[in-house]
Amino acid sequence: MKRFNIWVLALLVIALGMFYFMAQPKKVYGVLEGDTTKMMQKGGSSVKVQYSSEHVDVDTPSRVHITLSSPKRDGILSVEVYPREDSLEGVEHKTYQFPLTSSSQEFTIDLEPFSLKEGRFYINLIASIQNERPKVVSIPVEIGDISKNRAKTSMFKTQKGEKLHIMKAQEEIK
Amino acid sequence: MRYYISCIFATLIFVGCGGGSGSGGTGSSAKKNPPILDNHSPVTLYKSESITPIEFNNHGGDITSCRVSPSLPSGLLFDSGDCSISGTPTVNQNLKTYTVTAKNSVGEDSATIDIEVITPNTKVAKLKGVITYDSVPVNSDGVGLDYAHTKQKSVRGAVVRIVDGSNKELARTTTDKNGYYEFNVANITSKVKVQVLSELKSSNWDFKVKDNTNGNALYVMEGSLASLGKNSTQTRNLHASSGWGGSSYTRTRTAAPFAILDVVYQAIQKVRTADSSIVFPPLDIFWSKNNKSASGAISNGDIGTSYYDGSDSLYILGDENSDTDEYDSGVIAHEWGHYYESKFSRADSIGGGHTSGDFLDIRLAFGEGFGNAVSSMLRDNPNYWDSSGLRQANGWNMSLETENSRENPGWFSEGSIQRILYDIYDSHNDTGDKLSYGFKPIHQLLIGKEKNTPAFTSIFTFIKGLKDEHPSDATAIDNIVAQESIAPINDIYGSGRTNRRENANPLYDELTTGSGVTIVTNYAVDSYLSERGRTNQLGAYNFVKVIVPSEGDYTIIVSQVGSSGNPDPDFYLYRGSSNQPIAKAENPPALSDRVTAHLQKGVYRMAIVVYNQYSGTSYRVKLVKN
Repeated sequence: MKRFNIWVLALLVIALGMFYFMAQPKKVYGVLEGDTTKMMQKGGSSVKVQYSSEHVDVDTPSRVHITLSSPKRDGILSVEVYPREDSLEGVEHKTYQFPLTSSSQEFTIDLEPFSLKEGRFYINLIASIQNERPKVVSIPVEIGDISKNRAKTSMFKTQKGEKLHIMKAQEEIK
Repeated sequence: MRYYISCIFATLIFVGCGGGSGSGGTGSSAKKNPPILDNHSPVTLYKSESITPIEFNNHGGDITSCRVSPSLPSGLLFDSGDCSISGTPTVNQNLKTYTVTAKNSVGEDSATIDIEVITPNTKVAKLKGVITYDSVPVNSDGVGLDYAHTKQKSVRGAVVRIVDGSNKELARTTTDKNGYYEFNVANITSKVKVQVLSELKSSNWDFKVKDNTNGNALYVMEGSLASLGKNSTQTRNLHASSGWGGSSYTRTRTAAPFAILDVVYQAIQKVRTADSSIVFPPLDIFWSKNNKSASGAISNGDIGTSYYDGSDSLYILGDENSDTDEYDSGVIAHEWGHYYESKFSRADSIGGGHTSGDFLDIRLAFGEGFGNAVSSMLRDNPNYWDSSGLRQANGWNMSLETENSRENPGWFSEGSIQRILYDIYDSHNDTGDKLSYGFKPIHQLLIGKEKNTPAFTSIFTFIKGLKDEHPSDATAIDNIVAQESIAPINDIYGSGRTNRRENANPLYDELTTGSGVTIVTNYAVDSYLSERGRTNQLGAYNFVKVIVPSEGDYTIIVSQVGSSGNPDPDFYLYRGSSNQPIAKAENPPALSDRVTAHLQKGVYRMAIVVYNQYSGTSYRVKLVKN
C-alpha cells in the first residue's frame, strides 16, 4: 500500500508539472508592425497591406496577422503567400482570391509560422488586381536571436582603404 | 669672252640662291607664305640613348621662330630656330602629345607629335580585351524575365584597372562603347589581374554600384592573377555571368551591378545630347541580392522598394523570387530620372502611394508622370516593365504609346502626363501628336523655366514654359494635351480648367496684404482626410499664390470660418527654385494656425492642408505685415 501511494504521488507531481509547463503563455519578445502606406513603395497598386508579426522563441508559432484593402469595388484581389526561407515553416505556398465589392474591400489573412532555427525570416506576399501593378511585400518574422542568420559580409579592404565586393569573372586569356 | 663668262657666272649664282631644299620653299614667293608643318608620326624613344634629331616637314614659308608645348621630356632639347628635337631622354614617360608651332612674319602653323620614353631592351606589353555582361531581357509579352534569351552585352564606360598580387593598382583606364580596354604597360614583370569596377567615372561624373548589405562595398569583377606572357600583346576578355542556373540563381550574380550601370551609361549619353559639357553630381546606386520589399534596416536589405532618396543615392531591389529590378531598365531609369530632376531641375512632388486612374495632387501627378516619361526618353523605349514573383516569371508592364489605356485622363493623372511628355519627345507621331522635339528642348526647359517657375511644378508650368519657348508650336502642343482631356494651358496656375472644375475653381487663390482670401477645403472624395490617409490626392491641398508687396516681417494666418470640429490646418510657404519651405505652420490641432517670417518682395507659393475636416469647410487666409 505504501509503495502504491508513493507511485500515485509521483504521478501526481509529474502531471502537475506538465500542466504547469503547458499552461505557461508563450514568450513574445515584441510585435513587428508594418503598413505599406508608410513605406517606400512603387506606385501603380491600389492595394494597402498592413501586418503584425510576433517575435517568438524557436519552435514557437508566431502569430502573423495581415490586412489587405483596396478602394476598388470590383474585380478579384489575388494574394500569393509563400515563405522566403525554407527554414520558415508553417506557411504553405498558397494563393487567396478575394472578390472586391462595394461592401467588401478589406480582407485578412492569419498565419502561424515557426522555425527550428533562430533569425529574421520573411513571408513573401504578392497582391494583385487585374491591370494593376502587383504589390510586393516581404513580412518579417523574428525567431529567437535575430542575429543568427544575418548574412556574413565578404568585403575586401585594400591598403588604400577601398571597400570592395569582389566577384569572379569568367575570363579568357590568349 | 669675259662678258660671256660673267653672264654664265651670274646665272649660276642666281640658280644657286633660288635652289636648295628644306625650309624655305623656292623662289621669292616662299617668303610671302606662313610655315605649313606636317604632323609627325608617334615616336618611341629609349631612356639614356641619344636620339636621331626629329625634324618636322615644312612645305610653307621660311620659319623664323618655333615653340613647343608642353615642355619636352627631361633630357630632350628643342631648337627654336628650326623646330627640331634632339638630345638624350633621362626619364621614362607614357605616350604624350606635344604641339610644335612655327612662325614667320606672315603667320604661324602648328603640328603635333606623340612621344613616349621607355627603358630599352624591354618588350612593351600591351594588355587588351573586351568586358561583357549577361543581359536578361523581358518576355515578349512584357511579363517576367526571359532567361532563355540572355544576351551578352558590352560593359561601357566602366573603370578597368590592373593590379598586382598585393592588389596594388598599376594602371587604370575605362572601357569604350564596345567594352574594349587597352593598357600599354612597361616594366611589369610580376603577375597581374584585371579588375572591372562597377563605376562610371570621368571628369564630369562618378556613378558607383555598391552593396548596402556588405559595408557599402563597391562591386568589382576580377580575373585571375596571371603573367603578361612573352608576346608583345596579351588579350584578357572578362564576362559577368547572371548566375542563373535554369530554375534559380545558383552562382554569384556578377552581371547585376553591370546591368544597372549600363542603364546609367545610357542615361548619361542621352542627357549629354542636350549638353555635352554637363557635370553630374556623384551618385551611389545600392543593390544587393538581399534588397527586398520589407521595412527595416537598409544594411539588412530591408529597403522597401527601388527608390531615389532625394540626395545622392538610389536603392534597387534584388530579392530573388520576390522582386528583382536589376534587369528592369525602366525601373532603374525612372529612379535615375528623379535624381536628374532633383539635381538639374526642381521637383515639388509630395510622394506617397498612387495608381493609374487616381486623381492626384498636381505635384505628384507631374513628378510620377515625368519619372515614367523620362525613363522612356533615356532608353528610347516607350515600354516599361517590372518583373516579380517566383523565378521572376511574373510582373507588370505598360507602354507610354498605348492610346487605349486612358483611365480618368486629365491634368491630375500621371498616366496623362507621361503620355504627353513622351509624345512631345518621340519621333512616332500618333493621334493628335505632330511633335518630335527630342531631348534637348525638354532638358533646356527643365533646367530653366521649370526650375525657376514661381508656381508648384505641374503639367501647367511645364506646358506653359514649352509654349513660351516654342510659340509657333502652341497649337500642336494644345492638340497633344487635348488628347488627355486637358483644356489649353495658357498660364502656370492652371486657369481655365474644364475637367474636374470642382477641384480647380480656381486651382490657386491669390493672396496679398489686406482683407485676405477665403479658401474652401475641396477633396476629390468627400470624406474625412485623416481617415482617407492620403494627402496626395487631388484637392487635399489648396494652393495659394502669395504676393508680398515689400520686404518685411509678415504673419500668415489660416483660420476656420466658424468653429466646428477639431481641425488641424497646416501650411507651407515656398519661393524660387527651392522645393524646401521657407516657412511652415504645423502646430497641433486648432481652429487656426500661423507663422511669422521675414519675406522679400515678390511672388511666393503656398500649400494648405486641413486634417480632421470634411470637405466644404471655409478658411480665411491672411497676410499681415507686422
